[in-house]
Amino acid sequence: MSNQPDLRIVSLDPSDNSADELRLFERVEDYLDHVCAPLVDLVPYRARQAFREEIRQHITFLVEEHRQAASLEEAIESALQEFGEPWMVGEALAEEWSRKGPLRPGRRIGAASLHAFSLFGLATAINLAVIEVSLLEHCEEACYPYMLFLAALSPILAGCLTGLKAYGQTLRSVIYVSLFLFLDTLVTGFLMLPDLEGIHFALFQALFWLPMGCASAALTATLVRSHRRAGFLRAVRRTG
Amino acid sequence: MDERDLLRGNTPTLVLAVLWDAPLHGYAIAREINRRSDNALQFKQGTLYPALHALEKDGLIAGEWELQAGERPRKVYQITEAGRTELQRLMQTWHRFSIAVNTIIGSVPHEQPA
Repeated sequence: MSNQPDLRIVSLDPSDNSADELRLFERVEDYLDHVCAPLVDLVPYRARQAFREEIRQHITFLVEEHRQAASLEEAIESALQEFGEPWMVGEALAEEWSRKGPLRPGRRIGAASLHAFSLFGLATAINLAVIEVSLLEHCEEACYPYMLFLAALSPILAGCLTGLKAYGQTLRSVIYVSLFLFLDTLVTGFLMLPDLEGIHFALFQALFWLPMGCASAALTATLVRSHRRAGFLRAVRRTG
Repeated sequence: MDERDLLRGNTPTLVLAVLWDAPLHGYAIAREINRRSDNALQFKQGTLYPALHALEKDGLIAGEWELQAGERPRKVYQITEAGRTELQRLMQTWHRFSIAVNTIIGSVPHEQPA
């Protein structure tokens, strides 16, 4: 026994079959492409191939079962129908893959969290630096519109870039990082007292950055994923 | 809520229950659920795999690829000790829940649909 399957190309067994039968086997491979499409760029290649092989096996059993009372074409269609909508199966697997398992010591920090932390951290640092400079230069009122514009734009930019760079598990990463940065800014805000700008910025982060950062990151990640899925399916069809 | 919604929420319990006696692969798990329920529990079999993956991730079942000569590799799942403990807990919860629901709906007069 081993933990990973042999990654040789395994088909439903099209050998010794006619062209028609081969076409029907391809129908199953096409179905599997659609199941695996939501997993692209989220699940590593080997794990994705393992899912694919396991599902192919299941469908093969279903086809064999249905074939006792139907033609091969009907058996394959019934088997695929019994298995469910490929996108739903793929999306459910992707969702499950993204779910955090039980906490284990030494669990590695995901790439999405690192991206979110760098981008949102940089945005926070820039905003705090601008606030500090405005306080030192005593130009708070004159600088206020620019500061507000910068503070409003930052989470949208950081969110979009996070979604673009790390499109798996993006939302959770942005939530964690935003909450951490909110607490960090709050502490900085208390250190800046009696000036209230730091506290105001911390509240702005909690009330505006968190929802806007999450929304822009999630939207960008969704767009990137669907674009890559479409590319994956196009490439599969070309090679097919 | 229909039977499918009820089933979806309880798929992990059913999987753990059918794996209690022996390790099985995905298709056999689905068929065993059908068989033990006298085909009363029908579901899209693709929904089994996210549940299997979740149980494996939580350490309640363990999947192993079996390599047999002349056959394609096959992933077989078996329940772990943590899975057995969890199933006992789920069974107790289900038992209490079903008693409570039966008590409430049992007092309602049952009318046959026209």
